[in-house]
Amino acid sequence: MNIQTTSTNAVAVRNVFKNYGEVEALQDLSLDFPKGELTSLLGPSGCGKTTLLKIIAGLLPATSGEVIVNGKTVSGPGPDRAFVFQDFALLPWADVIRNVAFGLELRGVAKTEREAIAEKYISNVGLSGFEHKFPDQLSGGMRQRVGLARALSVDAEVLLMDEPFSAVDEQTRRKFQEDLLNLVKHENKTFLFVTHSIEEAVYVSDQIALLLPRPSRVSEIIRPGGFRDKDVDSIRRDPEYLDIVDRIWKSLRSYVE
Amino acid sequence: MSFAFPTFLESMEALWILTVKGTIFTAYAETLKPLAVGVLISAFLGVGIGIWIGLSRTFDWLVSPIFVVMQSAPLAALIPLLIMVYGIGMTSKVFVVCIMAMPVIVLNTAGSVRNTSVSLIEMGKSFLGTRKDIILKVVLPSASPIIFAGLRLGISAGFIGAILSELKITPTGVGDIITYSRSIADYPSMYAAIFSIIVFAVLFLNVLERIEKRLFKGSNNEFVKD
Repeated sequence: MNIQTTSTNAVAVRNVFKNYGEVEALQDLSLDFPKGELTSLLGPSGCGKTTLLKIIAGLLPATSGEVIVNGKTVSGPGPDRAFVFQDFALLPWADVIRNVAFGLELRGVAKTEREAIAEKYISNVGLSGFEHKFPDQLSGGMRQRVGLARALSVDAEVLLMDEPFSAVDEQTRRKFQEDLLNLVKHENKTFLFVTHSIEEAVYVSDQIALLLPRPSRVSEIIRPGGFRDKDVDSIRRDPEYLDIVDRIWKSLRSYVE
Repeated sequence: MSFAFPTFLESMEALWILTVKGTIFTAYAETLKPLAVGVLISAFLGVGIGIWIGLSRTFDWLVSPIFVVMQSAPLAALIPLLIMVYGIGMTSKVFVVCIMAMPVIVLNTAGSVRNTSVSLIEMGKSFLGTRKDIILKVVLPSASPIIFAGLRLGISAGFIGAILSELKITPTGVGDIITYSRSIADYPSMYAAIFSIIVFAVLFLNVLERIEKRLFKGSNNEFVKD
């Protein structure tokens, strides 16, 4: 197995096992996530990618093994990691600005200060003007942008994204993928991205870890290369992009049939 | 037969007479004593116990059965027992109100606390919420629509309990108007009294609904359904 490591890894997973009773969800998984890059965890359903992400987030304990984030072993949630949820996880009774500022509110930041920070990220994700709307007044895409703004507001070094775009429509999803590329370029953070979409993974990632199901293990690490600097519209037609997508599908195909 | 079933207008006329004479007001003053005390105890204690049950498996195991039994037990059979232990005064009447009101408040509150969205709790934990934060900022607001629904149901039941205690324990207040009117065959007054209770209960529940709306100013408490 070929784990590429760079000199600084923001997250290192070492020999992690996770059992749910008798079911072995993760088996001896080791993986590195280079700092400042976006690494995708790609694989079919049930291959443990969300489980691994939650273990890294500190929301689930590993049965054995360890996870090290920026030199410190993970024993629970921490200020160095922020999570973006697949089902948005917004407070339905709170307006957009309170939702975005919620992470800061839980950290005890004063109201005026946290609302100022929230305002900035609300405009970053393109939701200016919607500060006092409630989640049920927003579309799915807008709700996810609130979730993203909330995760960005706490200024964590590692951003964990659990299939963040799978609950929105295709057009919005494509737009989000483009925006994510921009975000990775401009924010100095490490992104861990779980997805089951091959095209999405190849489009946004600096590194893709292919996970195979039951028990979960890393089968391959791919680093899509040259087309990253092309403009967003040309990437999907780049030959290297198309080759990698094809190659991954051939690898995964046998596990779905 | 028609004598026992007066027309609506006849009953309203009787109600008017009761109002003008002031009888209805003194009656309510009497009824309200065990009612108010019983409802306040049921609401605050009931919600408090309900929250505790929702949060603690052990407390649930210990205490829930009490309320399940309380809800199913036939009150008419329990009242003589209450009278034997607590006499025929205010205490027994407050007990009756509580027995009627508390179970539904407690069980609804406990159920809604326990049913808080796992995703929201996880979100709270991921953003470093302490247990207290999560209870106050996630669990309770999430549970509040059902807690208030439980309060509405419970308090209505409490009203019934107050009148029941006046019919069965000692005749005072509005229950007395009902009993007395029936005993002298003044059916219009009897129906008038019953009608007034219904109106009072509806008004009270309306006030409760307004309080709930004021406290939770979200957009109609709609829940986000993805």
